[in-house]
This record gives sequence, structure tokens and C-alpha cells, in this order.
Amino acid sequence: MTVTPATPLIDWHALVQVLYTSVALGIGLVVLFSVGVHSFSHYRRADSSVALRSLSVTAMGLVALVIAATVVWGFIVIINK
Amino acid sequence: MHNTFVLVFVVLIAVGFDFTNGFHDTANAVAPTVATGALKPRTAVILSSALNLVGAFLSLKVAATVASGIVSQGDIIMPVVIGGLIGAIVWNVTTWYFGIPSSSSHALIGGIIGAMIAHAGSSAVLWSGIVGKVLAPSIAAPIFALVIAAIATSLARRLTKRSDDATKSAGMRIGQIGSTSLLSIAHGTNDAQKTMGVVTLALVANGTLAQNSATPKWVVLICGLAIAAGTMIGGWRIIRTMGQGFTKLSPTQGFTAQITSSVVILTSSHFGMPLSTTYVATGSILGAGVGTRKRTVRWKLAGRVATAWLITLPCAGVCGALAFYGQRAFGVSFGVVVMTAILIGYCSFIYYHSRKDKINADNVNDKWGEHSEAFEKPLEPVEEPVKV
Repeated sequence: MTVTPATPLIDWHALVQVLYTSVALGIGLVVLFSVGVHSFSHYRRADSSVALRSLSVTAMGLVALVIAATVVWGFIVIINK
Repeated sequence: MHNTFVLVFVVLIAVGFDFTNGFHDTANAVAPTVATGALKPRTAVILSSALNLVGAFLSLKVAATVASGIVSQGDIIMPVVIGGLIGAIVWNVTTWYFGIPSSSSHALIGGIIGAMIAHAGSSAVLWSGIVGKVLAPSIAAPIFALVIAAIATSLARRLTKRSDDATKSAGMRIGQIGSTSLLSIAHGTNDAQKTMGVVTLALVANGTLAQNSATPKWVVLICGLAIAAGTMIGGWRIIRTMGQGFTKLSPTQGFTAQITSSVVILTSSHFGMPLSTTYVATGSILGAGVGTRKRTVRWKLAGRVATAWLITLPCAGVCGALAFYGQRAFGVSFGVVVMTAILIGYCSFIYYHSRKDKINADNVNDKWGEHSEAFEKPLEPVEEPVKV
């Protein structure tokens, strides 16, 4: 006689995965975007040095790339639903 | 069953539900954007409406399984679907009148459960499915969103503390427009498909479509247009509650709330545990309020909204059951006409009363307390300037 395991009422595994991923992505994206905004703010300051401006541009570029990648991922999730 | 007359009414009522779904859920995507002035109210609603329409066409993997795993699919008959839709519309319109953000999906599930109990008894309801698919996500969604948005807001505030206000506000507002767009597309794909599923089910049940047929193009088109039209009307009462009621949002808070909503909704879809957009959006806005230095949130209002969430399923269920009994009392064909007439009468009554304290694009951002919510205590202003 085989015993079929009962299906749990709540899919805890999926729920925990949603939590971990949302925490990482949600907080990560906000932090990145804030760094981008802060970098842009530095870039616009008249008294910023060339090195600081270059660093700001690099940071803004990286932030833009990550945000764009996230938007693409979002579209893929929406389309594949 | 071949009853084209009833089928026409099912399609009309389903499209009506889609329309209420549109204006009820507009706030989820646009409320923070409108509240912080990232977009003008009318522009935000038009953008959201257009993207809802795009979303409706993006994915056509319609799971014609409305309330699957919640009620016994073999017992679903046309009057149960009609009862469920009527129950959901009544609940959507009622909560809209009171400016309460509540889940349209849960209203539809509640309506169908009520009609199903009236039709086949409680044994036709899969109660374990309700715990797993409705109750657990309902509790998890706002808590996840609240915690993430609170931490994100706090971090964003600290990271941009030394940025100049003009750059910060402009940057956050641009981010808000992006997240509003993504949320609107996701909503169009998600919610328009629910109605497409209902209409497809009705067409199959009527023998108009063969089992496992693809959704006809005209169904996709009318559902997409209905949700877009509903969004375009703009559920200003709910936008006001979410944008002005819970807390006074700054651009940073608006941005973190919307990013949190987008991420939680898309992640939950990705892992096959779809969480209610409304609950996530509400939790995110509350979290954005908690994340500020003064933690300015109207918890009494949040408590009233949570109470409405608790009673969504039973109230929509009672309406669904009554609509089912009404159809049975008058016979299916005449019954659906009578129930539709009662539904239109109720919606007109609510609309007439809503005109006494009209909320629209011009006054949606009025200070909280200047309309029917006058009994609410005003909040202290947040430390960050809202307008630059």
C-alpha cells in the first residue's frame, strides 16, 4: 500500500521564496535607485571634482543598467504568466 | 445548454465586472503618482488606462479556471457564474463608494462561493483552497509589502539625505512613472484575463465554443477595452484614500511604495503564488508611512480597510447567493433580466449618492478631512517637501 503525502493547505515554500526575493529585489532596487539619484545630485553640483563626477556617471550608468534589466525581467514575468 | 439570450447577459455582466475592476483598481497603480504630483491626475489615469489595454493583449494564456481549487468545477453552471459576477460588482461598487481599496478577485471568488453554496451546498466548496489561495495570501501580502516598503523608505531617506531636494524629487518622480507603468501593464494582463476566462467558460458552457478552444479575439478586445475604460474613469475615491488617507506621501515614499508593489506582485506571479494587487499596494503605502522619521500613518483608517478585507468574502458571497436565488425564483432567462435590472438600479443609486460628495481629478489631492472623511484627524506634515 502506498501512502500519498497530503498536499499542504498553504504553499509555504512559494510564500517564503516570494518573501526572500521581494526583500532582496525591493530593497536592492530602492537602494540602487537612491544611489543613482544621489550620484546625479553630486554630478550636478558645481563644486564637484572631475574624479567625483566620473564616479557619479559610472554609478548612474550601473544603476540604469540594473533598473533596465529589472524592467525586462518584469515584462518577461508578465508575458509568461 | 444553448441559451443565447442568457449568454448575452453573462457577457454583458462580465464586461460590467471588468469595468468595475478597472476603476476599483486604478488606485493600486496611480495613487502614489497622483499624490506626489509625479503626473497630473488625469494624465496618470490615461497612461494607466492605455497600459492596462496593452497588458490585456500581452499574454493570452487564459486559464479558464475562475475560482479553480476553490469550488467544485463540475458543479459550476451559468446562474452560479452570473450570481458570482453580480455579487462581485455589488461589493466593488459599495467599497468604491466608501473609498475602500478591496480585492476585486476576492470579491469575485466570494460571489462565486456564495452562489455555489446556494446551488449545490457547502460541500461544493473546497474550503482548504480558500485557506491556501485566499486567506494566507491576504494576510501575507500586506505584511510583506509593509515591511519591505518601511525598510526601503528608511534606507532611501538616509541615502539621499544629502542630495539636493530638487534632484531628489525629480528623480523619485521619474522612478514613480516607470513603476506606475509596469504595475498598470501587470494589472491589465492579470485582471482582464480573469474576465476573459469567465466569458470563455460561458461560451463553452453554452456550446458556442468547443472545450479547450482558444479565447476568441473579440473576447480579448472587449475585456481589454472594458478594463481600460474603467481605469480611464478613475476610481478617484479610492485613489484619494490610498494617496492622501493613509499617510502624506513624499516623492521618495511614493517611489518606494510603488517599487515595493511592483516587485512583490511580479515576484509572487513568478513563484506561482499570486498575491492581491490591492493588498500589496495598500501594505506598501502603509510601509512607506512607517519608514519616515515621524511614522505618520492613520492606523484607524488602515484598520477600517482591513475590516473590509475580512468581510469581502462573506459579503460578496451573500450577494452572490441572493443573485442566484433571484434567478431561480424567476426562471433562468427572466431571472437574469430581473437581476441585471436590480444590479443597474443599485449601481445607479450608489452613483447618485456619490455625487453629493464628488471626488474627481480636480479635488482628489485636497487635504484629507475636507470631504466626507472630515472626522479624521489631520496628520503632521512629513519632513520632506512634496512640491519643488
